[in-house]
Amino acid sequence: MHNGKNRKELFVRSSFFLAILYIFSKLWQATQFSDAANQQSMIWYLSVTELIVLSVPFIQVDIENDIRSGDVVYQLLKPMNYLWLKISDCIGSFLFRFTVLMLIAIPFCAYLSGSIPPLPILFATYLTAGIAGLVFILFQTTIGLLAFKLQDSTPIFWVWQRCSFLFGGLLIPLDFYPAYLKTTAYFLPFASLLYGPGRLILSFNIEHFFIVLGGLLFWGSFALFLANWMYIRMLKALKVNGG
Amino acid sequence: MNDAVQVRDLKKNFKVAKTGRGGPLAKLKQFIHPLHESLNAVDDISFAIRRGEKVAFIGPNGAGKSTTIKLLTGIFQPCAGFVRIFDQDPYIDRKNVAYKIGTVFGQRSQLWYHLPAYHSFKLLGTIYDIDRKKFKERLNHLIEIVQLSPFISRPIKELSLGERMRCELVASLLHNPEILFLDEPTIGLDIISKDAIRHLIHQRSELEATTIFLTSHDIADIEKVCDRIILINKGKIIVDDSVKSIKKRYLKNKVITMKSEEKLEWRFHPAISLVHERDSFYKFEIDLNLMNPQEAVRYFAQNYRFTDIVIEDPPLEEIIKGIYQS
Repeated sequence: MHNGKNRKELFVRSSFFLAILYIFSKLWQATQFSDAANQQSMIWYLSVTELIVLSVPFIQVDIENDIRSGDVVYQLLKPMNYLWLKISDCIGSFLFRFTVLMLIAIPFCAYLSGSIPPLPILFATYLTAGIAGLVFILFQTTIGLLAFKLQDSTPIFWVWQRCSFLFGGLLIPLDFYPAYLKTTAYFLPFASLLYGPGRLILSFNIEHFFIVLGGLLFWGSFALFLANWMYIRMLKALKVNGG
Repeated sequence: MNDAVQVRDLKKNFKVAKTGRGGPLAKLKQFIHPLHESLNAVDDISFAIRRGEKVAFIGPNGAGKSTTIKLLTGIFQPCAGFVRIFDQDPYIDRKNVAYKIGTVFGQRSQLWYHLPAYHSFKLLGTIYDIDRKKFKERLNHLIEIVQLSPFISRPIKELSLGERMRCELVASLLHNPEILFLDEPTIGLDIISKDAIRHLIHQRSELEATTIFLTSHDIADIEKVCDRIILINKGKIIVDDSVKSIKKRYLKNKVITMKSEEKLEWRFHPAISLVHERDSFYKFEIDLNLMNPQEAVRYFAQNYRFTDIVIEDPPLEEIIKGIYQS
């Protein structure tokens, strides 16, 4: 909740979100999205993908700082699982940000697009977006734990983030990608995390909803396994300089 | 078992990479095929601490103090030997042992930086599964003793060091631990805050029979809180005895402070050295190997005129320094 307390930060984040939506809505008006229906859908698509990306806190920075400073060792003295403490703290921040940004985005997108999707579609879309955000947290936890081996996990995070933007279809749905790139993206987690939920609002069908949900559960389980495995390895190999 | 802590033949060594000395080729070789050496941080130490005992665990920098604490609290697994905290292995039963131990690390914080102290305490109450009613009673009691009320609603990051350390101590005592590990709890504090912290630790130990395991470079912490000292150097225990016995065993001199209204014309004496003079006060050190205090006083009385004389032990700090240097 500590990020929510920082009102200025939330204000800047929200302003950036709204600015992105506005700029891209104007951009699509001037480009190949001459079909009004497509432009409307694209605004909603972008609202979903950007919402996920902007809501996820940088848990990897917290974990990396704990590892580099040695604080992680002292956290182990409490009768709790350090990993779950960090993830829970992050989920708290994420849910707060996600809710605020979602409540801001929906009316703004309705204003920009001139329409609003049916409530069940909105619900299904933002539900999967929320789950996608949680999966993002798990993957970023793993990246943070890499600091135990690498000392600095920032470059890994940069690569991860850029790949998620590109292969997740942050700005443009994967449908517009060349075939080879689209196929590559489908094998990576990013398509499930960003494109999947965004695609629901473009053209919703119940089959696709379950496919997206299944993808999120698969990648979520994988990320959870990876994070746990790395955490156990870290505990076993823990070294802190004495004195 | 009456022992809170049992340590037997404890060893811990670390594999550290050898620093590549020499030119670029040597450094490249070290990078591709790093060589390691073993560093004995804790080398075959044994001791036992009874319930309610207050022990100072001291030594020069790099002696192995922090490594020992981490072995006792279950952070590290020993390479050899064993550790038992209330008959449990702290590494294997870390979670169970965590409920019995409290920790204060002077240079680290266990509180949530952005949260008010009160919220941190509530969070800890949940983490330690403390019954709500008991938690409230205990917290109110500790707040009153430590006088936290004026700043308990402020975020930790806004507190001064002294205020933060008092909060850290309260946080470590909330779950009523049976043993309290304190690593430099008074570091950086002013004299009043130090006294408050020492008083609280001592009081808690007396009232609740909490075992205290303290590491500190401030000898006053040891003198005012502990009754036993374990001194470690280069991973080995050098001294393990009560404070009184250490003073008696290692005392090589006494300090005599004399007040004289006349200017003292000091003459050399092989057993007595003048260490300090200021205004009408003169401080001497008596070598106990050559002269006892009674003889020293007789010598002063026969040769000098003074209005007051005080005999005292040198500060414990001097004794510890002497042990380190030897």
